Amino acid sequence: MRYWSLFSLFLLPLLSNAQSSTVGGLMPRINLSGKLSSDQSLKGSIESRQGFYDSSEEVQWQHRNILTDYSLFFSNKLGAGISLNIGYMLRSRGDSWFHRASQHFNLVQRLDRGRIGHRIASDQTFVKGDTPVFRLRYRAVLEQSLSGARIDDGELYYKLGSEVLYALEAGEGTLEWRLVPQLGYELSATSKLELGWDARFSSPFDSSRKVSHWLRTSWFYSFKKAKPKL
Amino acid sequence: MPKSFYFLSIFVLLMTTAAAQEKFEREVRIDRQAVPSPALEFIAACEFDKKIKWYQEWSQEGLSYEAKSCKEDYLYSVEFDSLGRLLDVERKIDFKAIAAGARGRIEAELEAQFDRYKVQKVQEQFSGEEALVQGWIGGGEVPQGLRQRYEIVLKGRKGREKKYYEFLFDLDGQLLKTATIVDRPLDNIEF
Repeated sequence: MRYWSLFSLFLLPLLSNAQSSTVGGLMPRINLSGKLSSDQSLKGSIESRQGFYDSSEEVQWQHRNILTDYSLFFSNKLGAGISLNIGYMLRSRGDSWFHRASQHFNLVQRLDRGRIGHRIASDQTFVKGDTPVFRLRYRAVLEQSLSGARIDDGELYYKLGSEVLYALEAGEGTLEWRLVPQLGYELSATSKLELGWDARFSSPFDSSRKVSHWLRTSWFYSFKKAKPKL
Repeated sequence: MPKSFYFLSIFVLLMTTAAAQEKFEREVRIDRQAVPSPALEFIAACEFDKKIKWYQEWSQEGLSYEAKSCKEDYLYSVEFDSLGRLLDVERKIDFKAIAAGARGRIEAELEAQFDRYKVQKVQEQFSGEEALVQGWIGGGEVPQGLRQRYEIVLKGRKGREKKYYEFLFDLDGQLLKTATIVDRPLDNIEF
């Protein structure tokens, strides 16, 4: 019950009616990871955003290739379930290339049924001709099996993620909330598919409020030999 | 969307299909109708305080059934074989609830094995004659003839290695078995 209390805090942005623009579309993503040693690994991902609706455009329903992100992270395990990830992301958006440096501190706790992950992160985004953006963010993710106490191969699970972000650009701070409920399928010990909703809300106190809704599909693959689970 | 993205998607999906063939252990929640009657009768006689959750597990050891419930604030897990015969009963307890002598020997063993460790979960494990086990559940004193063990899950650090481990100790705190717990990849939680 206490986990649900934690996640209910992130539902606050849904209460606001002040919204001025809405964007929606698809967000496919591929995540690959490979071990360098027992504690170090490399993680790469490609993510795309394909817009199909934008309330601020004259033609609202239209396919738009919004952006593609290419990321590479170096992950260092600090303890059981604790890691520090440092990465670089290259974003292609229109004719511009964005460069983002990221630092993630992760803590994953095992539960009797499932696991809960906390992520505290910061990132810095740079693009030619514009001011840099600095962000600080916290995310909580709860993952539980839909059939049994643990997630086995060939089983469905759900994942509920929520994140709050503070961004600072040219001396002005803004808030954003994200709510990401996902349905996952464990293909094997090293591979999983996830499908769900990724909703992003700017601050309810913001006069020009932005909301975006994405159908997110993710595939995670780990180049790691499957071992028996206890 | 770039063409390379589509090609990569098809490639990785084919790889996944191949990887999905390796399946050897599975546990699922089941209805009580799927449980062998001796197991149902055993659990009914235990008079648990809360609803019984039933699970079925396939592993290298074969098929087994597990019932989970609560009695007098303890979380119980009762395991049966494929015919519904009792295998063992586990009860979640605090580490401090282990008798002082045994606890001291367990701590000495763990301190010898790890630079640092943190106990995550402790379960008392009981096995023996079904009637004895049934009489004991929620009944206080452990009767003579029951085999009692402690199963401890902890996260430990040995030099540069930081992992989750499972230990099995006997009633006196002597080490019987140890195993490393292999976690599922954390990528979908971290990214």
